[in-house]
Amino acid sequence: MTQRPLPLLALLGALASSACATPARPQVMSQVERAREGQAVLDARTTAPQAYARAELLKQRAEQAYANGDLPSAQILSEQTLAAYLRATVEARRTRAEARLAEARILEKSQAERLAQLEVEQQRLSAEAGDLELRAKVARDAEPLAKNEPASPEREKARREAARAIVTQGSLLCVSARLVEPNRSALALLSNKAEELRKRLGTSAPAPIDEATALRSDCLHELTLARRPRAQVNPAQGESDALLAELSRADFLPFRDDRGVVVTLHAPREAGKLASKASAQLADLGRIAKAHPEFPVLVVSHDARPGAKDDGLASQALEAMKAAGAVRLEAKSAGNTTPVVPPDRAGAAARNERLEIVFVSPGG
Amino acid sequence: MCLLAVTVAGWALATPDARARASSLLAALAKKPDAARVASDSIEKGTDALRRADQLRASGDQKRAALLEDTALEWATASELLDETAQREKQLAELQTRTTELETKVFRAQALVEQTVARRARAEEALRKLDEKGSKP
Repeated sequence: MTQRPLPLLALLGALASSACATPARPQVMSQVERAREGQAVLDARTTAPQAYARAELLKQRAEQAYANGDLPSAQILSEQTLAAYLRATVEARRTRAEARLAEARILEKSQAERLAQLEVEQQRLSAEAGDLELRAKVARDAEPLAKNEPASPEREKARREAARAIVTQGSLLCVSARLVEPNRSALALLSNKAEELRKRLGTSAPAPIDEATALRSDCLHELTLARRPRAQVNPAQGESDALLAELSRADFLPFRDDRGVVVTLHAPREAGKLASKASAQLADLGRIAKAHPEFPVLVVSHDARPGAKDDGLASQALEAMKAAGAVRLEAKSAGNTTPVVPPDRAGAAARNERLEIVFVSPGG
Repeated sequence: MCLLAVTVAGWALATPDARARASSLLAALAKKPDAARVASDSIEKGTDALRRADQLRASGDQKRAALLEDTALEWATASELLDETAQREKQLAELQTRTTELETKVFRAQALVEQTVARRARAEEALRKLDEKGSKP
């Protein structure tokens, strides 16, 4: 009996020590430690300090619960701490993304402004360069030409065809000049000259190739002078570019020449009249012409039939465009004087027979 | 005593509508396919915390159930933030693509301007020579 108190005390002591022994840490607490040491959380400490401090507070509470032996609460609070660390890192990510977004917006704005400036500068420079090039071309064309000497019959025939084409080109340039400046005095004289050359080309006299070239050069000169006042007022005008872009968008495959912006319609005739497809295209072009009233329109028909007379196709085309709202128009027939390919080549007729719709450039 | 201290601390952190807010956020995120993609892990953890909170409430442990509801809210809030951040990052990527395209256009426009300056200079020179030639007797 005297020996019994000792084992009892030992048992009580063992029970007391086991109650105060540190229990094993929940696994999630180790995960918290690892997360806390990670680079993302370290970054969040400076980028998202409030969210980070909140996570730290939760961690302390989890540690406190563990120290108090409340493992379930320590487990739950540690899970909450993990979520809070995640929230801090995501807040840091969002802050960085927003800062970069703001920078990118500034950059986008500055680049858009720079692009707009460059486009304006490009238009101005292009107009100036175009004007200088045209003046150089006119000056070059005005230089005295070496006289063409009489040639062999084959050569003479080729020269006659070339002269006929050049006279037509010159006439169309003069008509363009008249459309830009209707009262230009020199044009009547040049028109008479063109008529005279046409008559001479119908005779057996030597082809007046030099005079035809001079006529073309004079007409181009007149067109340049007619355009000059408008070009001087605003050398950077991009109206021609805008029209070209609009016609391209409408799939008309426009191109530029000395007269302005040109659209070619093939297969314009159907049973001797204006083809229905061409009519529809002309209506579209008429609407575009109406939207760009500063561009007078020259309608030119080209025939592939040898010796064909003007059958009024250009006038019919003009009426179709007028019906769609175009106002300043003139129609001309070029006959078969300016073929695209030699008439004796296979399929030449289909390519040579065409309508040209010329939006005469009013300035530069 | 230890248990009491932790429980009090738990209640101190708890917010009365944590459960409702967590449920509402998780339900809203479930309707967004993009959120489910970028925050699937944290959404799952939030949903799991709510489920365990229900079990604890059923067993009568109201205090720890409240702690779990706070945890669910923490996961739900982090998920929502992840979704918003992913959207910002997507906007940033799109904007950067647009800016890169603009930079390329600016580069090309600059080159075109330089070419046109050269073209104008050539035309000026040609015109000057022609004028000189024309003025000679």
